[in-house]
Amino acid sequence: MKQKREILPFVLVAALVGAMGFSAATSAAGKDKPDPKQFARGAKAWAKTCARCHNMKAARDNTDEEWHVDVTHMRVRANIPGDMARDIEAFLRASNK
Amino acid sequence: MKKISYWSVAATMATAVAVQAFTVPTQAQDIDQAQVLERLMDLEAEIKLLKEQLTAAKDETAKTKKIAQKAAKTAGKAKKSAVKAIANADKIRPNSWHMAGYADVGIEVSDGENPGTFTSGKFNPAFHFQYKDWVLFESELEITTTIDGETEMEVEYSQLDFLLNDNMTLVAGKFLSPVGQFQERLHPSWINRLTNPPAGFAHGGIQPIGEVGLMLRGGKMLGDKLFTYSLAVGNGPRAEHDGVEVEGFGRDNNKNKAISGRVAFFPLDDLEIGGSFLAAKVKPETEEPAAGGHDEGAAEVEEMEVAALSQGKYNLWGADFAYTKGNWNVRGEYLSSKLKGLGSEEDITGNNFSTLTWEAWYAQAAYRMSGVTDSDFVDKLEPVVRYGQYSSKGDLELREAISEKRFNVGMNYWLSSSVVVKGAVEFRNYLAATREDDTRLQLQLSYGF
Ligand code: HEC
Repeated sequence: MKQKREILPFVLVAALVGAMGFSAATSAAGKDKPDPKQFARGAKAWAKTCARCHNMKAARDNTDEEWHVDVTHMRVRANIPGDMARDIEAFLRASNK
Repeated sequence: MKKISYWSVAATMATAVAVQAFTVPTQAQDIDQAQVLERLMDLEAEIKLLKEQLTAAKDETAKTKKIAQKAAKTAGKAKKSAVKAIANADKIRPNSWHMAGYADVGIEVSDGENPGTFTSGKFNPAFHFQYKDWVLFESELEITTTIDGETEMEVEYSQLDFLLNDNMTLVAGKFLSPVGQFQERLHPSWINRLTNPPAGFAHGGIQPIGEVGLMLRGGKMLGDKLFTYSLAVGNGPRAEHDGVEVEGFGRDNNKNKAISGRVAFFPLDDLEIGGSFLAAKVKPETEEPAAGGHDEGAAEVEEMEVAALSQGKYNLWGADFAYTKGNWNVRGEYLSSKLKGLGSEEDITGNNFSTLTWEAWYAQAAYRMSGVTDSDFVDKLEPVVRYGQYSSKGDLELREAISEKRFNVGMNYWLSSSVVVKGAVEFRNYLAATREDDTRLQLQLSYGF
């Protein structure tokens, strides 16, 4: 029992490193390809998701970099799937100029 | 008579005809040649002119072509730099950050035990740093003024979020408890529709506040429905005088980790239904060793001795829903917990175990008046009502100390999406006969930035 406990952190760290490697590998593929439908998808997901907990913040309230960080923050807080979060970020960054 | 020779006549005629034939053409030939020569010279002149014009035109064309080429080159360059500029403008630095948070001020006037007071409120700056799409560090401080006028600062959360993949994030550090919906999602004053939390959902209530440990969380589309989960392992709760506190303790005081979490799904796009739980062991409330008074080893031994005495089992479950469609914002939440088998410190035999239970719930509805009339002023108004109860069973003293019913009616005025002036009346009805019921008038201004 005691031994098991001591191994646990290592298993966790190993799992973490493995998962990060995996996600880096999968997210690198298909990157930087402009997707013409992303804006529409993002607008829809934004309307559906971003007023669930608080009032909708206007796209113009934030710069691109701020939206980048904010949407990640909300992705974690609201358990939003990553692909949906990227669509929403693309929509907000295209709409704040 | 001289006989006319036919031959001579014929010869003469022939000669005449021949002469005629020869002379006329010769004359005609001379005239034509001159004319042709003239025309030829004319043509030559014309051709020369045309040639000249042609070369001039050719020169011109070449020039135009050159200009066109130059223009194309410039346009290409311009396009390239424009594309570059756009790309640069849209590029996010690998290390990006954002500062956010909120602040509020308010006043509460009561006819009960507490007189009216200004509440300086809170200042909660939050920092978010993101490295690429790998990790987000987020931390929020809560700076408040205490009753004695001192400044208090607490770390609300301070966590690293590793974005493992699209459906999984690993959170490490101190984080807000994922249990229920109020603490993690609604407690910031620019989000909360009323000036305070519902009974039982504040510090000292049944709602777990925070946790220190690890949490795995994420969301996934199952078909066209979103499913979300948060699962945490942490230091867990501690027994305190008013019950079990789950505040995110920096150090575990027993050897057992607490497990807590929440799952939710969306049967409709605008309706979220969630279920939460927490399971932990708590050891009896003990005097905290005075700082520096004990060395670690002694404290460790003491802890083990206490742990050997008896540990209570603390279990909590809850359910919540949120309906947010159009102008409506309707929510409700229920939490129930049970503490079993926690002996008092002297109780080595472990006979005096009692079971304590807590229960809290609230339901709240707010309606934003935008679009109801033509008035800009009315657009920004939002009436709100909330009703809730908090109670405990198993210990009379505890029951009397905490049990209450609370009803709030309020009106909010939204200056922007995250700046709000709230006014509300709160009716508190305490279970204990010794406690006078109390009506409070509440005003608050909150700014989320
Ligand atoms: C699950 C509830 C929830 C959902 C859904 C949600 N938010 Fe939030 N949001 C919050 C909470 C809670 C805060 C306050 C965070 C704090 O102060 O710790 C917040 C804060 C913010 C802020 C202020 C800056 C910050 O990061 O703290 C912005 C901007 C924001 N949200 C935008 C969004 C956008 C865009 C979406 C849609 C992708 C979204 N929110 C969806 C709960 C939510």
